[in-house]
Amino acid sequence: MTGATQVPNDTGIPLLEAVGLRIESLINGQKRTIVTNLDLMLAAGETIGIVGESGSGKSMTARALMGLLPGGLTAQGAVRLDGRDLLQLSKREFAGIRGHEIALVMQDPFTMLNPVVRCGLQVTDVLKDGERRLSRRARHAEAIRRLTEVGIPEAVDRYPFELSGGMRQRVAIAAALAGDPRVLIADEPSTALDVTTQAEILALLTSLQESRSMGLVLITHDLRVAFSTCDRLYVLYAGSLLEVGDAAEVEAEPLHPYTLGLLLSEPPADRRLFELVAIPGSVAVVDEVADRCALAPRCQWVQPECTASQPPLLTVDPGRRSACLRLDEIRSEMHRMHGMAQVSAEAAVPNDASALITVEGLTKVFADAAGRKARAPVKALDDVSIVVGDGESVGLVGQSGSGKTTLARCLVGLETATSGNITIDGIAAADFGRISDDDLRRLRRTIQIVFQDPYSSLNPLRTVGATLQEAVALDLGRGRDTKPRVHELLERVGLPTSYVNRKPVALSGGERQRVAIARALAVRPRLIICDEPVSALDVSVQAQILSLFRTLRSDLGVGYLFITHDLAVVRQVVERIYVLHRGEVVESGPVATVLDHPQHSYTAQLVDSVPRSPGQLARSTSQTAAGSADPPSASR
Amino acid sequence: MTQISPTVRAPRRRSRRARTPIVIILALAFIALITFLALFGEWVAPRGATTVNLEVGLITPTGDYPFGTDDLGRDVFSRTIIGARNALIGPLLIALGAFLIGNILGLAAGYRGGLLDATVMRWVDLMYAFPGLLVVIVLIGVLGSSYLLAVVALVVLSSPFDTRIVRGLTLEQRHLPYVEAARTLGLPVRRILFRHIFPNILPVTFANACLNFAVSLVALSALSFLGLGIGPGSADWGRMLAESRTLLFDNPAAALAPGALIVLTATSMNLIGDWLYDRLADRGRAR
Repeated sequence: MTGATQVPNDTGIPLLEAVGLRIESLINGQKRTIVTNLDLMLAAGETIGIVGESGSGKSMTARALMGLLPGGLTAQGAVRLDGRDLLQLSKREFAGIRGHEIALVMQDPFTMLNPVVRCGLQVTDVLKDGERRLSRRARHAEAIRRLTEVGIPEAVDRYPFELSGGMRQRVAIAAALAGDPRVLIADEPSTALDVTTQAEILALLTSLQESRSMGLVLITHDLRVAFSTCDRLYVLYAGSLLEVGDAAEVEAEPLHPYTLGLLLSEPPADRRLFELVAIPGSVAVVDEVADRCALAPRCQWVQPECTASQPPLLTVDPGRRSACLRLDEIRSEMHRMHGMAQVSAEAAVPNDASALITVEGLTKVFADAAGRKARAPVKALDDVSIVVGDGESVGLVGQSGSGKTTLARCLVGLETATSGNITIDGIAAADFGRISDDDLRRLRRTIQIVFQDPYSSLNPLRTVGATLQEAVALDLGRGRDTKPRVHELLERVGLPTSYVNRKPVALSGGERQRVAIARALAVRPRLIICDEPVSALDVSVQAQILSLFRTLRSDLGVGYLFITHDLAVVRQVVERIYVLHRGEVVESGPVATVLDHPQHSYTAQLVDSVPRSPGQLARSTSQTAAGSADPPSASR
Repeated sequence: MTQISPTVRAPRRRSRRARTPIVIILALAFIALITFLALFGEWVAPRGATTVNLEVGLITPTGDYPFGTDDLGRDVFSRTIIGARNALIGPLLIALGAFLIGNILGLAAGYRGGLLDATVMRWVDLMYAFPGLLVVIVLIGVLGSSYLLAVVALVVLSSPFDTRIVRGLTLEQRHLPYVEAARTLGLPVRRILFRHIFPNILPVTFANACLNFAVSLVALSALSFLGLGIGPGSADWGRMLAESRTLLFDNPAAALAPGALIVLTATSMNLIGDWLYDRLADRGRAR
């Protein structure tokens, strides 16, 4: 990323340009709009970001630029590469451009590579098509050279399944770059990876973009990633652009309520916010907002004029464009809100409550599954000891494979530990099979769990009412009227009581997660285990759920064991954290102490891998200086 | 607390449902007709199933006798109508029995796992090894011809297929968060199995029951054809097929009518099963 790159002036021809791009789908005779009126510009040596939530049309935009729209989807408008309209090309002509002029890196490194072809060959595959066919040896040498560029020359003779996700993504990048394209489109290149790997891949993309002076289009749902990597941002929502501008300027002062909402929704990793501000509602459907401002149903500043027609994207400041009609009126208020979010709340102080859960020396070994005799047993948990106090909120942090979910499952009896002790509210709960019925009943009312995937955590055939009623009946006992309590639960989690008759299919992801939380609350537990409860949700919805967790805590006094890979999320809801690495607790303590002054190298690595924009980096160094003058409270 | 504004929500997908294909309407109409005949055959048929009329003798179809008569002068049309009951009741019992046994064993084995699962699955493997129809033939040969015996034997022989399918589906559902959430809530196992898992796997098992019905209709007809099913003299499609094969040159309709009905009924049930599967699998699934 270079601050020197400038937006090309109107006379120069940009490298890649989309004008009035419109993508429509025609499935079963039904016409749906996916993207409308999208203008986009990329200069050589520049990185632009297309930021949007699910359903914003960002991935389809990437595919349209590549000429790879799935069947039934059509693109109108113009996509120009060096002034040549790609949409007018025949399939054959486009095939010559793909890989050589524009290349694509996709989200999932697991499916992007051919599993039965060695990595070296996948990288040099593109090169065979040239006039001269490379000799075997030359190709091998070239593959090594290419893989060295992405930092893993040793992968040349390996198969994809022998590599980790991050390494696979590197091979995929090398393969995409093999034809020396001038434009690289990266569609969520780091989303499927662990946090630590994520940072490496983004750094790799940035350095490759610089050394090759390519144009890079980064497509992401994560504003933090966009700020850390991109020069310019295109904020896409429900198929239309709401804001365009220089990344640093957008971060400093967003000029559209949606961008502001997204910014405020993304909790910072370096401080605890006093209040989490969220955009209400869930992501709109393009055709439902076609004739108005797409954000209108969710915007706090909405006026009748916003729904009269779709506001155009107008230039506000030099290099800044916004599609908000009322920008002039609300700009100062938005600025004030944005400023307020910079104020951090006091660090949460751990209380000294009596222990509700005590885990001592817990070890869980997964014996090798049938058919994989050669593999050694997997040690998911290795001598883990943690304590969770009554009413306390504790975080469990680590990347995938660190054993955090296994620990949670042991605590609710979905998994039985190999050795070690679990004591929950005085009941020995290491083996749920040996607990008496009475104790088991008490345990169920002590701990409940909320899962990651809101789509499968509700029975698809039962209405919200039936799901909740079943749980309430367990709490109240036979023959009692469950209806008032079901309504009360729905209101508690912020859903209208009319939802009792809805089936999960008619709910959005965030709404489903609310129902799942209500179900857990039905038996009045003292602690809820939250297993990545917001990681499958859209950013704007994530903040809603996080603030719901906070509200429930202060209203009901319920504690959490919050499992996540996201340091920013954990910072907002817990007082203490445990850092898990390969099944072992490597560090623990108050959340502010651990995240601001990590002692273990793994924790430091986790903290460093949170994407930061240049502005944030400057701020965090000054904060650390201030923090050292005022030492944090002693760890318990 | 922020209330979700009701204006923005996931789109409903009602309109996407395709119209019922004409083949399915025909199949449904046909099954309805056959069911009606099975229930009220005696009252609909112009003559009795066993009314012998030697004066008429063996004739080809006429206006009075739409399918002609057999060698005893019995009206083939009436026999076909009345025979529907005997032809349908067996397959229905078999499909139902296999469905019940398969679901109970499959759900229990898939959910509980361990020794129960191992035992049930070894029994399934054992049953797979038996050549189905041959076993029934030998059984009947040893124990004497009995329709009930044939039905029971076929229930036992076809339930392993249901069991295996249900077990596989249960294993799949068992690890879904909604089941785990129910377990964590402390719901009784019976409730988890029958209120949560069973309805979610029903599309597949129900379609399988339809298929079972079709297969056992053919199997029972085959047994009747061999003279091992229903007693001689009673009206039954398989039996009629067997008895009139010698009359093929004198009155082809006497063999073709029951044969065609067997084929049409089996095909209709197969089509309905497939169609129901698609429809049921759709409900609640779409994201």
